[in-house]
Amino acid sequence: MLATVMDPSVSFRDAAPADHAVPVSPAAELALRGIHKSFGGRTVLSGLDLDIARHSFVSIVGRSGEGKSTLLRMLAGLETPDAGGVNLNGKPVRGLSPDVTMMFQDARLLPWQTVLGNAGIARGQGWRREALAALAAVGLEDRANEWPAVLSGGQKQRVALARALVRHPGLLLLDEPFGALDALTRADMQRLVERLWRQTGFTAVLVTHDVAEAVALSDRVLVLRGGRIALDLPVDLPRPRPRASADAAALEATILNALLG
Amino acid sequence: MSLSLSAPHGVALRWRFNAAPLLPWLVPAALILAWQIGSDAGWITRRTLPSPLSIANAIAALAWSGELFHHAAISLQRAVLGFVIGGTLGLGFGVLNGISPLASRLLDTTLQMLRTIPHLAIIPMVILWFGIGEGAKIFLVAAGVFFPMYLNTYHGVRMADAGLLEMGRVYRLSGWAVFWRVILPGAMPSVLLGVRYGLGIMWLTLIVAETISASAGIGYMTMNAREFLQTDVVLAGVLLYALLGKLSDVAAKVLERRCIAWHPSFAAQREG
Repeated sequence: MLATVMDPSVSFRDAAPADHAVPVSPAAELALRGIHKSFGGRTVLSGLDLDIARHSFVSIVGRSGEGKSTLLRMLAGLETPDAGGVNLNGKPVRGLSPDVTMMFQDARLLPWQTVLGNAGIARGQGWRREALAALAAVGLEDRANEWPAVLSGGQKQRVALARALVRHPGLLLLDEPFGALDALTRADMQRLVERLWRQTGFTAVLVTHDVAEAVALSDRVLVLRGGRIALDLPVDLPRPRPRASADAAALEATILNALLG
Repeated sequence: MSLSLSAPHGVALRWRFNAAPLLPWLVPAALILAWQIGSDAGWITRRTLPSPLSIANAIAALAWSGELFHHAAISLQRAVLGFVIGGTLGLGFGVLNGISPLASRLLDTTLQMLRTIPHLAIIPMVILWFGIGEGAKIFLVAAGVFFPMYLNTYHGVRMADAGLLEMGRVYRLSGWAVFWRVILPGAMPSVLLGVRYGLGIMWLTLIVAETISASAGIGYMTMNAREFLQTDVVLAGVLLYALLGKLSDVAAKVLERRCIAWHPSFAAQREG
């Protein structure tokens, strides 16, 4: 199923639109109501309401310690709110959902499994074929039998992305997955994620501290400050987006102002 | 550092002598030669230290009569049995206490207390319990191997990467899958360290146990030879222990290479 939408002949650098693509799994929608969360008396999220539409790409930016990652982990079911509720596709989230997957800051590959074994970590029916197709989609099918130890940082994150794709996620959560990469690799990864998002049609939520990255990738940027959403800015720029356009720069300035308060 | 000869004008000689692999053996060879010369000249008395040649003769005679293999086989059997029993128990308790906080709270303090007792100190008790039969020696080896295996396994399992465990949760791996694919392989380098420590203790314990009471085995052979002042046979037994110790170390290294081929130090070699 993956193979039909992820044409291995398309290079990962090729960010050309693929309008013929059909979603592989129904994109998820999210509704958060009155979310409170505190750690040891320190309030991180207070009375947060948020709706995320199907097949949207939402970025969450904020300073360190403003609860971006906590919010994302809550969407993953790794954290539970002290008050309020998270609904995924109209149903309350309790624990981890098979429909949701997450990419972390570090790739978190199993060093003792090959690239293929990592991509197909969940070992479902026909996992080898699925994992190979996903590796092809991220341009790493020829590294399938190697150990993660010999890959570069960017390649490791691409394996992590392939691993996420094998699950046909309705919701892909990205916790600063490109933060540790060099600028060129980061730009490559951003284009790859954007292309796969357009082709496969999952809902994406990205946590980042890079305002330019948020504007380049998402339909909507949220600025988190003081446990609430300080700014909810739609990014209505055509895709594929040219780098460093004047429109993008204006949006980035607005976001930065909201961040700095 | 290789000594290679090549003719001028770029014409390589067909004969090349690479001395590098022989270099580490130069000093031992010189020492043995000096020892032999010292014995022949009468500077070293035969009762203090027999000459290398007479030791070689003793080994040849023991091998010819089959005695050598008989005793070595019995020692090896005790070593393997004791190691398997002690190692399996150590691995089992290490894993159990590593993954279960309840088991750890219940058992770890007790095991740490027992660990501080030198296992050779209980030889008199072991003889009372098991007599001087095979049971006593196997018990002592097992007791010696248990603790390094337990400690290293426990440590390896406890040190499981929290990030990988969380990844396992996000990917909804079952408890078994998390154990077999995340925790145990991650603990493997530590477990193998336990194996190598355990192998060292295994031979040490066996030497002591066989020297105290046995009717067969390398230790018995050397003690028996001492009674008759056959110092060459005593030293042949010592050499045999050294050889078996080296063999088990090589086996542990092979095991290490197979089990942690993914490790960056090995993986990079394969790539290069």
